[in-house]
Amino acid sequence: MSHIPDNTTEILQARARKLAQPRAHSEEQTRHLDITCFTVAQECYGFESRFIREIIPVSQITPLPGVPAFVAGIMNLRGRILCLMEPRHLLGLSAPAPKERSLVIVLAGADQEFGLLIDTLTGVCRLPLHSLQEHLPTLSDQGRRYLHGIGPEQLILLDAQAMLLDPRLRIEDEID
Amino acid sequence: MRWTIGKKLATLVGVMLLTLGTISFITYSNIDRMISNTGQVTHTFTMINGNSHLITQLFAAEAAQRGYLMSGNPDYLQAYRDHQSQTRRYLTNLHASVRSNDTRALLSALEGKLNSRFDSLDLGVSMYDKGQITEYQKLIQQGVGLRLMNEVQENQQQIEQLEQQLATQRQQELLESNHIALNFILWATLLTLLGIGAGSFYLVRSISSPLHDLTAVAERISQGDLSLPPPQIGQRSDEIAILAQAFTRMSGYLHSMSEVAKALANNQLQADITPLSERDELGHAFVAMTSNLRNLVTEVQEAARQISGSSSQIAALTSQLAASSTETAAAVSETSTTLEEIKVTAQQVNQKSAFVSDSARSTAQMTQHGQKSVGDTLQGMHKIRQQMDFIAESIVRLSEQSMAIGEIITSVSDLAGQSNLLAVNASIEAAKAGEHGKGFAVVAQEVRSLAEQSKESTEQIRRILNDIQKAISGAVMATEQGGKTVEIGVQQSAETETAIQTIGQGATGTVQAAAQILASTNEQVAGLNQVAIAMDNIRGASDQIVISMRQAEEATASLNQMSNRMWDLVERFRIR
Repeated sequence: MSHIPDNTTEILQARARKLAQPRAHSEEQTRHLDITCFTVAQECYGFESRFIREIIPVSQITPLPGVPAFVAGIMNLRGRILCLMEPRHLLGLSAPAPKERSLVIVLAGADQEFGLLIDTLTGVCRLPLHSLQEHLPTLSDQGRRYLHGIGPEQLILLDAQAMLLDPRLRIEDEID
Repeated sequence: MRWTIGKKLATLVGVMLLTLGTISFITYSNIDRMISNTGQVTHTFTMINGNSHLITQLFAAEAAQRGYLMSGNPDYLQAYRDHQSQTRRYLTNLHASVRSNDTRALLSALEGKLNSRFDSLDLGVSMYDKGQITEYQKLIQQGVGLRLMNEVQENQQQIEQLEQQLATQRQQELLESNHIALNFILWATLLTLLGIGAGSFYLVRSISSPLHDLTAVAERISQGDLSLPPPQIGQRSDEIAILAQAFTRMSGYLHSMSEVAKALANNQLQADITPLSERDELGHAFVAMTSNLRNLVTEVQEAARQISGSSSQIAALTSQLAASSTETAAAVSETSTTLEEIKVTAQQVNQKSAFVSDSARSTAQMTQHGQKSVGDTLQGMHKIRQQMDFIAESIVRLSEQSMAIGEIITSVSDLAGQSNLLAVNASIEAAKAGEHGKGFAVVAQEVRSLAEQSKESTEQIRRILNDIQKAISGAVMATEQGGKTVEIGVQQSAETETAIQTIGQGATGTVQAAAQILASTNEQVAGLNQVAIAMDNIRGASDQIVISMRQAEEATASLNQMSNRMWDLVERFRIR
C-alpha cells in the first residue's frame, strides 16, 4: 500500500526501543497493581484486573421493569444471564448515558458477578501502590464509597471488591 | 196730460199734413180734370184729324179712280182700292171714337154719303172694266159726284166745326177750374206757411234752447269738463225735462266716476266701487279695472320681487362665469404654449425614431452573426459535456473502488478492535495468573500493540481514504459542477440562441415598429399642427367669451337696476 504514511517505521522503532528498555519498576518488590483503565463520562476510571473476568462487547441489553435505577438490564453472555449496571448511577455522575454502549466489564467475585457498562476501554497498566492518592474532591459521596484511590493522570481507581460485596448490588440468582 | 214734445210735434205735423193733404187733393182733382179735359181736347183734335184724313183719302181715291179711268193702269186701280179701304178704316175709327151725339149723327150722315160716293166710283170702275166709259162720262156730267163731294165736304166741315166748338168749350172750362184751383192753393199755402211757421218757431224755441243748453253741457262733458252745474230748464214736464234730469244724473254719475278715477290716478287702488245697476257699464268697468289693477299690481309686485331676486342671482352667476371664463382663457393659453413644446418634442421624437429604425436594422444583422457564434458555442458545449460524462464515469468507478476499500478497512478495524479486546482480556487473565502469566502478559501486550498498530494503520488508511473520498467527492462535485455548468452553459447558449432569435425577431419587429412610429410621429406632428391651430381658435373664442361675459355682466347689472326701479314704481300703489 503506497498510501501508508512515512512515519510508521519510526513509530514501530520507537515502540521497539521502549520495549527494549529494562523494566526497572517491574523487578522491584514494591507492590504493583494491574489496573484496567476505562472511561465513563469522559473521566478515567480503573479496576484491578484480578476482579475482572473479561471485557466483552455488548450485545442485546434487555431492560427489566421494577429494578433500581443503576440496573441497566440484563444480557446473554454465552448462555448465562449477566446483570448490567450503569456506572453513572453508582458513581453519582450526572452526565447522560450515551445511546450506544459498546463494552461491558464483567466483574466477578466469590459469588457475585455483574457487568458494568463503560464508554471506552483505555487499556491495561501497572501502577505502583505508592502512587495512589486518597482524595478526590470532585467525586460525589456515592462514588466515594467505591473509591479505592487516585492514580497518576487522574485515574480514579474504583474498589471492585466493595462493589461486589455491596448488598445493594447483590443479585439473587435464585429466589426461594 | 203731459204736453210732450212728441205731442207738440205731432200736432204740428198733423196740421201740416192736413193742409198738405188738402192741397194735394185739390191739386190732384184739378189735374185729373185737366187730364180728362186734355184728353177730350186731344180726342176732339183726333176727330178733326181723322176727319181731314178721311177727306184726303176720299179725294185720293177719287183721283186714283179718275187716273185708272183715264189710263187703265192697274196701278191706279190698286191705289183706288187702297185709298178706299183706308177711307173706310178711318171712318170706322171715327165711329169708334166718337163721343158726342151730334157728332155721331153727322158722322152717320157722312158715312151714308161716303158710301154712295164710293158706290158711284165703283160703278165707274166697273163701267170702265166693261168698257162703258162714255156712259160713265155722262154720269159724271150729271154732277152727282160733285154734289156728293160737296156734301161730304160740308158734312166734314160741320163735324170739324162742332168738334172745334167742343174743344174750345172744354178749354175754357179747364182754364176756369185751373184758376180756381190756383187761387185756392195759393191762399191755402200762404196760410199753411204762416201757421206752420209760427208753430215751428214756437216748438223749436221750446225745444232748441234747452237742447242748446244741454248740448253745451254735453259738449263740455264731451271735452271732459264736468264742472258745470246742471242746466236750468224751468217748469216743464216733457222729455226735455226728463232729459235734463237724466243729464243731471249723468253728470253726477260722471263726476263720481271721475272722483274714483282720480283716486285710482293717485295710486289708491283700495277704493271700492259699487255699480249703479246691472247695466252700469262704466261702474262695472271701473270695478273690473280696479280689481284687475289690484291683481295686476299685486302680481307685478310679486314679479318685481322675483325679478329682483333672479337678477341678483344672474348677476352673481355672470360674474362667476366671467371669472371662470377668464380662468378658461388663461388655461387655454397655457395649453397653447404646452402644445408648442409638445410639437417640438414630437419633432425630436420623429428624428429619434428614424435613428431607432436604422439601429434596429443593424441589430437585425448583428443577431444573425450572434446566432452563428451561438451555434458554434453549443457544439463546443456538447463536446465538453461528453468529456464530462467520461470523467464522471471514471470517478464513479473510483468511488466504488474506494468504498470497497473502506469496507475492507472497516472489517480490518473491527478485527483490530476485537484483537485489542482480546489482548486486554488476555492481559487481565495474565494478571490474574500472576507470576506465571508474565510471559503471557508480554505476548498479550504485543498482541495489543499489534492491534494498536493495525488500528493506527487502518486509521491512517481511513484518513487517506477519507482524503480520497473527499478528493473524489470534490472531483465528483467538480464534475457535477462542471456538468451543471455545462448544462447551464448549454441552457444559456440555448437561451442565448432563443434570445438572439427573439432579438432578431424583436429587431425585425422594431424595424417595423420604428417605421410605424416614424409614420405615426409624422402624423402626430401634422396633427399637433392642426391642434395648435384649433387651440388658437379656441383661444380666440375664449377671449370672445370673456368679452361677452363682461357685456353680460353689464347687462345683468342694468337689469338689476331696472328691476329695482320697477320695484320702486310698483311699491307706490296702495292695494289694501
